[in-house]
Parts: sequence; structure tokens; C-alpha cells
Amino acid sequence: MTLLPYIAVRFEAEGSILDRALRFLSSLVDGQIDSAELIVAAAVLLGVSCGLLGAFIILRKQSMMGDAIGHAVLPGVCVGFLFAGSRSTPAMLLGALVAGLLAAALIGVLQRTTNLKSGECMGVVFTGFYGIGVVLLKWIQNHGLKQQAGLDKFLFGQIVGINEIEVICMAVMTFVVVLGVIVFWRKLKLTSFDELFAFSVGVPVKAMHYLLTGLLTVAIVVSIQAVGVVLVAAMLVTPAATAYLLTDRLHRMVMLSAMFGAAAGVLGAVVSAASRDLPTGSLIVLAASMLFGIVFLVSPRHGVLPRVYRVWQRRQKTQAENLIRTLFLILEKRSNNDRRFGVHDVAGIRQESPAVVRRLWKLAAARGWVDPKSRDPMIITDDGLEAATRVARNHRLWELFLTQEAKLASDHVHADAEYIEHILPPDVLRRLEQMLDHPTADPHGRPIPAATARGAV
Amino acid sequence: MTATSASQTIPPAPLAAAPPALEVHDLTVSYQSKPVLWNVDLAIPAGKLVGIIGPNGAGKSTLIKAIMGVLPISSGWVQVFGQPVERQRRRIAYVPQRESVDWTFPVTAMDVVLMGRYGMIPWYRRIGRADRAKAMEALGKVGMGAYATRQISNLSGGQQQRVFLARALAQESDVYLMDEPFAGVDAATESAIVKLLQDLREAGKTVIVVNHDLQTAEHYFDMLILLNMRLVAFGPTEQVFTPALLQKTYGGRLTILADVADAVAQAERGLSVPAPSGRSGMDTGTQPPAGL
Repeated sequence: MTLLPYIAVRFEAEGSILDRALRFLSSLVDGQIDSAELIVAAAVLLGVSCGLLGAFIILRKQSMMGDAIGHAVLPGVCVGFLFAGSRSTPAMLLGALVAGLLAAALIGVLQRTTNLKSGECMGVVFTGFYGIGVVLLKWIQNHGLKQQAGLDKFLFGQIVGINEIEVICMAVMTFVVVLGVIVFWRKLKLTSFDELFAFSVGVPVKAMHYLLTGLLTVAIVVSIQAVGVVLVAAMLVTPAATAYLLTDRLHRMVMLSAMFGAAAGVLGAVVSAASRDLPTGSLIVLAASMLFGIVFLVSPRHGVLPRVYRVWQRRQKTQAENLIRTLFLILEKRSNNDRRFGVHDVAGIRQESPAVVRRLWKLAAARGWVDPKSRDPMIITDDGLEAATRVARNHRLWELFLTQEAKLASDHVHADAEYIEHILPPDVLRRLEQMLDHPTADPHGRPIPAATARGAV
Repeated sequence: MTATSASQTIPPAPLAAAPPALEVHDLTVSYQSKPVLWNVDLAIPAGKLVGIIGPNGAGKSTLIKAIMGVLPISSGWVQVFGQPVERQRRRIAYVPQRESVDWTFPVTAMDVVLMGRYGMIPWYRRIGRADRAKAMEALGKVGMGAYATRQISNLSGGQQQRVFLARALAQESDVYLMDEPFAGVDAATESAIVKLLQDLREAGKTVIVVNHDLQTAEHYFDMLILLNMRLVAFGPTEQVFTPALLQKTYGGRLTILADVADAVAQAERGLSVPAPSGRSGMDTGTQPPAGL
């Protein structure tokens, strides 16, 4: 608690991250800082290229390949630096590309010539490459080469200070990725889904694999400057996984994945530019994770919250139905058509407290099944009677089915019917009626009410 | 016998007479230099419904995959209507085992069937209305027209198998190779598939099906290929579906082949041949099936 005022003071002194983020954004609009556009452009480019390929990578269950190549490019960056003798980005990116492809080829050779599984092959190769990369990096730093400043940003990523040439490099490479995906769309789709069949219709399956690995390496090289080699795999997996939660069509998944990638890139880059000393890579990846978290919680079909809400809604409906079914059973025994029910009487029959019954009354009143003005005694409405008849009818039909068709003893069927009565779909109900030849009595000898029993009881 | 020396024999020039729909000549296939299928010869005439039967590990799927060129051939050759398979891809359709793909893949039944048309559409052309019509027609033929827009993981096993068959139909080929289309499908789907196979035969197509069930094999197929690492018999069902030949196919006595295959694999890796180890009954193909 004592920390909070301190943090607040600090933020006021330096201007909060939010403040600075807003300033960064306004500078983007005003065009005051040239690099602002560059930063956003770079973030979008890396998000799109990683997102596009990520969709294919996770569908082909090659998520680990992203991690492997991501780490394996590091020695290439260092060698590129040594060759150029300065911090020349094109040289370093070229080095990264070569190292990535070399690692991929080596993994392929191991897979073909040994009995090691692909996981082991990748593990052996990429850790080895990464080890070389770290050694080279330290060697360069220790030898005090003047221009080495900023070389270690390739580990964790740094987007601030990105220059025009670098962004142009990224744009060209992203273009290659997009073009590759468009031109080979059907072949990629086919080989990702069914390799055997793809081969049988003459699609060059191996070539497609190499193509995808090549494009993957390109996408990684696009991203390493801003994201860093350590976390770049997350940009291949997380946006694609987020998209997969939202759709079951490939083209939508690929588009969404690219969009999530770009959104995460921009979000992370803005915060990074505003915070100055936080590594961009982690922020971009955190943004991607956050988007995933949001989608995981709220996506309509697979989301946690909608599912919880649906279950909660169904439970409420079930409870309301249980109440009016009790009213229906009471009404059945009455000789007159009196639709009034005392709360305490109902509570006694349901073996619940009056408070619980009043809560159920609320749920039923919300559905128009009991008169909302009638608290005690409560009065069942026509709609309520119809719903209750339907539930009772479902219950008895199902009991009859279980005893007659499934040959269960009549004392085995009530609990099942208690559940089924709330969820029986209309078309199944019709088939059930036909199968049982439109019966009129349940296994306990009680009448099965007619389907259109509105107010007829 | 130079099983693994990859000496591809040159096929003879096509004769004047109509070549068989499918001809397999001295075909040997190896997995990691271990032969699993030895010197198979087949000449399947057009318009026949042919079953491939044999015990587990007999090489039934391997034979089909090798014919399609999916698996590399160690020696021998395969021709479709007198031409190498690579030049006849349009005339031969392949239905892989249903379990060979991940059915959670984000595509619809229609998308899968359209894949049967991919071989005919160049990359720059969009999928046309005619292709969609063909795909829809194929889905209709297997009774799946109402499920066209379903994502494939929402289909039952039998429905997924029908989608695979529809994809092959959409290819409009002359020869169909199907790997276990009856595996794990319900009775309704099985009879629907049988009807489909018969329709294909009536239309003059050649259909070759890997089948697991001996009881049904006798009734479904015009001709049978009895396989157990080598070709035991090939001919009209009534001639080869005999206790003697089935005993030969399923009744063991072929473990010597498996032992020699191991030796070949060892030799190819430059290792010495191990001393003969008492092979146990776990070997594929040593147990005759019940009911024979």
C-alpha cells in the first residue's frame, strides 16, 4: 500500500505511459516525429507476415518450427554484422535468412537420416545455432567493435529508432510472404489438410514444405528486429491460435490471424515507444497474449464467458420450468380450474423453503409464465400453462420411451426424464410421438397431456 | 533379387491391344530400406470391382500408396492405361484412410470435395461455377448434399468417409483406389458405399478397394487380390476365394519373408546380419483368422 503513492508520484514526474502513448499517437497524426509512422508501419508488416504464415504453421502442427528457426537465425545476424563490418541491417537480415534456411535444412536431414522424432531434431539444431549466436554476440561486444551498439536488440527486440531502409526491407519481405500465400493458396491448403491426397493429384508436397519453411524464415527475419529472436515464435502461434478460436473457415482464419498479428504489433510498438526502456518484443507478444485472452473469454462459440452465460441461462429456464410443472401437477389433482397457488403450499410440495419458491417465481414471472402482479397466491398464465403442459408431456413421453423401447423398469426412468423434459427438441419429440404411436398414458398410469392443451386442463 | 537397389526396369512400349486399366510389374516397396512388399505383378482389366485382402501388415495400404506414387518404389513399375502414373494423374483417384487427416481442419465438406478439382485448376484461375456444380453433384451422389456447408469436424465418421468418396468422384477419374473405405462406418454408410462402387463399375470405371472384412469381401467384389507381403493370388473372386488360398494368405508360413526383410534392412545400413532370433507369434500374418 505504501508503494502506490510512490508509483503515482513517479508517473506524474515522468508522465505516465498512457500520457506518453497518447503523445506518441498525436505525433503520429501531426506528423511531428517521422519515426512514428515508421514504427507503426514496421509493426503492421511484422504482424501481417507472421500472422499469415502462423495460420498454416499451427494447422500443420509445426508450431515448434517457428521457435526453432526463430532462435537459429541469431548466428546469421552476428555473421552478417561481422561481414558488413558495421550495423548494416540488410547484411544482418540476409545473414539471418541464410542461418534460418540452413537450420531448417539441417533439421530436415536429421529427420530423414535418423530415427529421431522431429521435436528432437529441431531441439538439437536450434539450441546449437542459438548457442553459437550468443557466443558470437558476446565476442563482438567484448571486442568493443564501435558500431555494435544495438546488436543485442536482436535478442529481445527494439522498434524505436527503426529507419527507413529497414522498413523498406521489411516491406519487401512481407510482400514476398503475401505473394507466396496467394499464389500457392490452394496447394498450401491441400497439403496442410491431406498430404497423401495432395501427392496423388500431383501437387509437389515436398516443394510446398520447403516453400512454407522458406516463407516462415522470411517472416521471422521480418520480425526479429522488433520482436527479437527469443519471442518471435509467439507471433507465429498466438495470433493464429486466436483466429482459430473464432472461425472454422481457413480463409477467415488466415485473414483474422494477420489482423491480430498487426493489432498486437501496433499495440506493443506504441507502448514500447512510449515507455522507452521496455523491450518491444515482450510488449508485442504480451499484446498478442492479451488479445488471445480476450477472445478466449468472449468468443461467441468457444469463449468461456458466453458458455458460462448460456449454461446459467439454461439453468434459470430449467428452474422456472420446474416450478410451473409443479403447479401443473397440483392443477391436475384439483377438480376445479382454480389457477391460484399459495407460496407455502407450493414450497411444501417442492420440499423447498418459501424463499426459494419466491426466487423461482421471479424467474417464471420474467418469462410471463405466472402473473407478475400475483405474489401470494401466484397465478399461472395461459403461456405458463402451455409451457408446463409441454414439460409434463416431455417428461411422460420420455418415461414411456424408456420403459417401452429401452425396456427399463418404471422406477428407473424418473431421474432421466427430469433432465430430458427440459431439452427435448421439437423434431425429436415428433419422432418420439410417432414411435410410441401417440400415447395417452405414461408408465405410472398418468395421462399424457395433448400437445395443444392451451387452457384445456 | 535386387530388391532395394532401385533398379527401375524400363516398361515395355505399349502394345497395340488395349492396355489394362492398371498394370503392376515386379513391384517391390521398402520402408527405410526394409522391404514390405515383394515382386508384385498385377494386370487389372477395366470395369472391374477389385478387393485387396490380407492380414494386418500384409502391405495392402502400401500397395495402393506405391501405385499412386505416394511411396517410393524400390523396383518394378506401375502403369495406368499403358502410361506411367505421373502422366495419368487425371485418370486415377485416390481415397486415403479416413484417419490419415485431422478432421478439425477449418474447412467445410464442400471445400474438401472441391479439392478433388484442384488438380485441374491452374493457380491463377478461381474455382469456377462448373467446378462447384461438379462438387455438389458428387456430394449428392453420396447423400451428403445437405451437409455441404458443415465444417468437417461436425460430421460423423460415416459422413466423413462419404465426403472423402465424394472428393474422389469430383475428380472424374477412370480408376479409383480406396484405402479401407468401410473402416469404422455404420451399416447405412457401408451399403451406400457398396451401391456407389457398383454404380462406378456400371459406368465402366475400375475400382480397387482395400477391405478388412473377409465375410463381405466374397460378395462385394468381382476380383480379389490376396496379399501377404507378396501376391498370394489374384483372380475372379469365385476362383481365388478358396479355403486353400485364404489359408495361404492368412495362415503364416511367410514369416521367413519378414526375417529376410530385416536382414535386408540391416545390410543396407551396413550392419551385420544378426543371429536368427526365435520370432514370436506377434509377427503379422502368423495367426489364421477365426472362422476359417
